[in-house]
Amino acid sequence: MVKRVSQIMLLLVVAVTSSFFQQEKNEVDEYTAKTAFIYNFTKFVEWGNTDSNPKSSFVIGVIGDSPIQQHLLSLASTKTINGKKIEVVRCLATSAENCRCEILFVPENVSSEDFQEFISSLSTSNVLIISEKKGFLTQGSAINFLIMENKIKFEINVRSLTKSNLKASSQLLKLATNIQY
Amino acid sequence: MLTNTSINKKLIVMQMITFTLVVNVCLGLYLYFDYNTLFENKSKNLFVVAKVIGTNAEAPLLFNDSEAANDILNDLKVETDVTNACILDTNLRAIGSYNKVGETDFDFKRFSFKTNRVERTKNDLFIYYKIRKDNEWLGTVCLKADLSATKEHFYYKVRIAALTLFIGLLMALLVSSILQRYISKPIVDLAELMKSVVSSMNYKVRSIYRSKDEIGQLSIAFNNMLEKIEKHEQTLYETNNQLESRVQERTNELKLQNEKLLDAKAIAEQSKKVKEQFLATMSHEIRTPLNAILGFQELLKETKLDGEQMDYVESIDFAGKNLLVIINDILDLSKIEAGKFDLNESFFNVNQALNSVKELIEFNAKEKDIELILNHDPAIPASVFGDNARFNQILLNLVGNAVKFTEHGFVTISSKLISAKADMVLCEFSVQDTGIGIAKDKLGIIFERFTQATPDTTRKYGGTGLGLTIVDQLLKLMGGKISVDSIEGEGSTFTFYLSFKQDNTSSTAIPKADKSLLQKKEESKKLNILVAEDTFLNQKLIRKIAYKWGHDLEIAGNGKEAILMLEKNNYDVILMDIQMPEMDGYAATKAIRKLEDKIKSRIPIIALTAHASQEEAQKCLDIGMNAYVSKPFDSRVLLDKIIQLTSNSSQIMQDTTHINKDIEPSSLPYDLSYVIEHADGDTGFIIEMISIFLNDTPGALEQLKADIGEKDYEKIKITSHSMKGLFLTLGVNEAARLLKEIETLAKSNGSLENINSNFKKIEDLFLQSKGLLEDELGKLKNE
Repeated sequence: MVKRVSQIMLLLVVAVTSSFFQQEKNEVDEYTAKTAFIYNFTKFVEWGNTDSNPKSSFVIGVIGDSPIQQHLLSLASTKTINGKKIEVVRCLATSAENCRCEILFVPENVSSEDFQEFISSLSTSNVLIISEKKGFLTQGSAINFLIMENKIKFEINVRSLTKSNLKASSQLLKLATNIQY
Repeated sequence: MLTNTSINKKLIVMQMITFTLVVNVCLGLYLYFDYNTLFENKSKNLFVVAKVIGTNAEAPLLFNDSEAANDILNDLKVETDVTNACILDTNLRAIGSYNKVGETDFDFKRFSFKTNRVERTKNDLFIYYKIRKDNEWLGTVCLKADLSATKEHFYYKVRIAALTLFIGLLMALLVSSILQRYISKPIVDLAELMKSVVSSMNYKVRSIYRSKDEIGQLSIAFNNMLEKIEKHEQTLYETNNQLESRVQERTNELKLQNEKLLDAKAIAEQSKKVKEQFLATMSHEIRTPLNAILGFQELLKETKLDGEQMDYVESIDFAGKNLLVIINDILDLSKIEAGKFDLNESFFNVNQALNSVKELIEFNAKEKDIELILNHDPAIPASVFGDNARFNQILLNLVGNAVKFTEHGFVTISSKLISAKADMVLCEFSVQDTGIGIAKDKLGIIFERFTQATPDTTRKYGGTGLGLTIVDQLLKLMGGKISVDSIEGEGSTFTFYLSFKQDNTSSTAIPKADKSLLQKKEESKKLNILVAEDTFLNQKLIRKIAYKWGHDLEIAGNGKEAILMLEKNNYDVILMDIQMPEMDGYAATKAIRKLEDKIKSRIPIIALTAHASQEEAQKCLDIGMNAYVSKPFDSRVLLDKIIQLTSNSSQIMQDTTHINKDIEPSSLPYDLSYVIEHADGDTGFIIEMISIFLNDTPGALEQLKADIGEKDYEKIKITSHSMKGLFLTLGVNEAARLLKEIETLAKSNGSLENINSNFKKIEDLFLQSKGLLEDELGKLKNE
């Protein structure tokens, strides 16, 4: 099954970006897939008042350190989102002041407390918060990755999206294993 | 095809054809476009479905969610046509697939996926939809739809259309059969009306159709026509009536005219009868005295006469006979023209007829020293069927004329067979003479009555100019024709053609009649004759003749007397005059035939009548008389009749003319046949005549000689004329001719030399004859 999942992942990655092919198997596959997911999410989520200036970049922030960072960077070098260059920034878990981004990825090593703190300090809206830890959805995350039967799944908190002035496509909602309102 | 069907059928059929054509075209077009539209729409619909699926499948594709993809495809259950479907990712891996219940998997991969495509095969429709997101190919939606339902739907429509067409046709039929009446009914009505008009001849009916279309015009025209015909009919009827009344008027007029005409006809017939009566009476009245004149002249000749007296008697004879001929000619002609001339046809011998005519004329010809030649064609059958008497009459006329108008030379009678068929023979007879001839310009008129070639002719030759007219008329009656050819001064040739029926049964002719005509009284039996005759002259004449024949004769003044005498005495024959006082011949005959004495009641009666007509003769025979003799009668004919009636069949008759012929008169200078004929067997008479001739002639010759010496033409003329009779009687014809020449010369104070030379010849002739005649006289006296 793992093999099959990894095959699917591989295919997906190839389809989205060829750069994922050189990644290591276990972790690489998971984060390559998650990067592809993140990239695909942007296609189904509308940012209410994004800067329409094409020179400004689409910023993906990552709290702390995570293997995903590498993948995101390689994505940023090849892809654009809504015609904008992708920029990957590192945010501190303690403070969200310097973290201005469209997507904020919360790795699993971020504690629940830190995340709470971080959310409360997040002043600006229009940020899609994606987490990968069980329970984070109820704590303010909009999309939370899950691993079910070796398959990457996700759940969505519509209230969080609405709170952040974001709008998710019904298609995306359909695919979510769990939706909270 | 439709030509003989009725107009309403034509109209219906036409409408149906039109309707079917239009509806078929419309339905065809509709179905054609509908067919296309149906599949196009189907394609479009399915394409839209594929597009929706594709849009919905974006996320499942991006997130590689098979379940979601299958969920989406499961929605296709609604689209019953779709049998198979799948969603392929960019690696052509199916992340979702769908099969309709009961359908098996379908592999779409063999198709191209580069573009959106709609493919239609016979039964299926394939739709490929490329899923794109932000210009990125995400995958492809594949659909396979079964078209049978769509087709079924289309066929359903076709069936509906067919049904519609059928119902439409029925309705159109109904409607057109209702509507066509607006056009056809007036026409059919009009046609029916015309038919009824034609069959009933009723021109009073009218077409009631009144509209402003063509049929209305037709109807009006028809009515106009009917009106005209009615008027014509009316006019015709009136004209007919008028005509009828006019015909009636005319008929009445005609009736009146007819009555008038009938009256006129009666009057005309009456007058015709009167005319006939007049003619008969005239002929009777003329013939009776003429009969007496001729008879007494004959008797007078037998008395002793001197030369002059004899001459006068001869003149009376000539004039009387001429008069008789004229009367007979006139009577004949009037009978021919009255159409009362009947042909009496029997078998006769042409040769004998020609010979008898020749014999009759011979005397005259010899007198004028004209040679009479008969050339008979033996090819002509001995016995032919025709009117012998009329044939003789024609020939006699022509030959008589020829002799009359010829001074010297010859007259030739010729016969020639032209053609002979089974029972008919066509003969040509011609009489040629060397006479005075006829001028060319007169040739055409000589057959007209009372016409002669020159006015001089009558003066010189006598005659009435009726002879040729009678000949012409008789030939026409007998179906023949005559022509004449003549050169003036050289002679004439009369040619006539006659066709006879041929006697095929008996080849020999029976010349009985001809012979009996010449029979003499050499019969031993003495007859006792009773004559009923009122005229004294005729009484005397008959008595003399009877005595001459040696028969006893008793005379009754009328019919009554005759009957009384017959009752007392026995007679052998009665000669009965028709017109008598007290009792006429008819009544007497009727009474005699009713006598009780069978022998006396059957006594032969011969009618003597001056009414020389066929009816008269027939009447006599009808009443019961045995024969008929017209007055003035030829004593020989009368005798012949008497002998015929009184004798039985075994009578041997001697023909004196045959005896005379044996003498060969042509070798002698004289000819006694005339004297012998007139002597009727009385030898004494012959002796007397010869003695007179021998005694008187020398004196007469002396007298003439003296006259010539005195050059007294007047005397020469008288003497020669009177002498001529003497010589003629004894048949010294040459001498008579010479005397006639002297007479003619004397009249014109001609040359005495010629007269003298003629006189010498006469003297010679007399001397020649004298010796011979004295011998003859001796012979006769010895007998």
